Amino acid sequence: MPITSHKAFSLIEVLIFVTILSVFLITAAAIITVSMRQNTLRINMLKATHYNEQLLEWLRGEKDISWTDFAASGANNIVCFNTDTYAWNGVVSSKNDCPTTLGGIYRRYAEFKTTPNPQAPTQVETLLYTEWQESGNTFVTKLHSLFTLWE
Amino acid sequence: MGIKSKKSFTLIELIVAVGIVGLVLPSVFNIFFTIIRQQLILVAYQEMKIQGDSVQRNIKNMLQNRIAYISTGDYSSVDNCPVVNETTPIPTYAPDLYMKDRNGISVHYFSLPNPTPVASTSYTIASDSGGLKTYYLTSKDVSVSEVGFACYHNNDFTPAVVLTKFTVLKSTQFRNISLPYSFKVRLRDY
Repeated sequence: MPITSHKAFSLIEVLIFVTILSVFLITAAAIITVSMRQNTLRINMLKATHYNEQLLEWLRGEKDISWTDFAASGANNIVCFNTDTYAWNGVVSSKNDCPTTLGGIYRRYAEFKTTPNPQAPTQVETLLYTEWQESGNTFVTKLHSLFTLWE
Repeated sequence: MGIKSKKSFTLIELIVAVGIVGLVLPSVFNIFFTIIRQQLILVAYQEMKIQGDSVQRNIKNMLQNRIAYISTGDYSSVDNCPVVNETTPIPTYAPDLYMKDRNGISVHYFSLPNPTPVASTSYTIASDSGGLKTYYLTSKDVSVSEVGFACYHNNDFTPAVVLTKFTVLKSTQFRNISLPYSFKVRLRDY
């Protein structure tokens, strides 16, 4: 039985088909990967924002109760707030000393800058950070706030 | 014209083709399923955050701007918040918060089951004013649990500090997720 060329695909035809198919598949795979990563990132970012806002609420409460204690507790320090119960005892020298234990993956810390001087502060600038690692990258959400004595 | 075998697929070819499709399809569906699940969880978190933030704003505004007298017992006691010192710790959380403003208008925050047909394990946080009308502070899409209030004074002459905590819950088809809230407010109109 003779094999005639028109009864099967030629190499060129197969190559073109495979190339077109692979372009589609690779694009689809890339889109899916990005989409999945973005979803996880947005979930984690939402939780991180929530952690930041909850810390800000607690700080507002502290400031409402006593400005003197609030200003003295923060006083130009970096403070680690790594549990759901808040306390001022987490002063660290560098943010890297703050463990990533909050919610399993997060590191939450705050930087305080008291002005004009630590003895009689009238303003406390706070920078709240919640940081986490995800697929090899470090992400951070920041919340910048200013507390004043006369507020 | 006789039927020649090479004009149609052989059984082996079909089995191989179906086998490959059978291997690829589940993984493709699995990927789509994962994406949909992530999307639903994300939407659930957004919903919970909107509802929880709204409750927090509501209670905070009420406490800071209107309330003069506060109690975790009932309306009859104007202020049952202890003065905290070395011997008296901050009290444990109570399920209710009773408040009055300067004009004697009363407000009460408490936990309440969501209206039917939602499952009876689903709760919301509600407020009523002198028992007149009950307002639900969350929609029935989410549940609120572990609602607690505590109040104290730092000394005899300072306004009461109110601690509030609650957890917003939502069960998606895939897992239950929660978002905890806690905040403290010092009364101003005291």
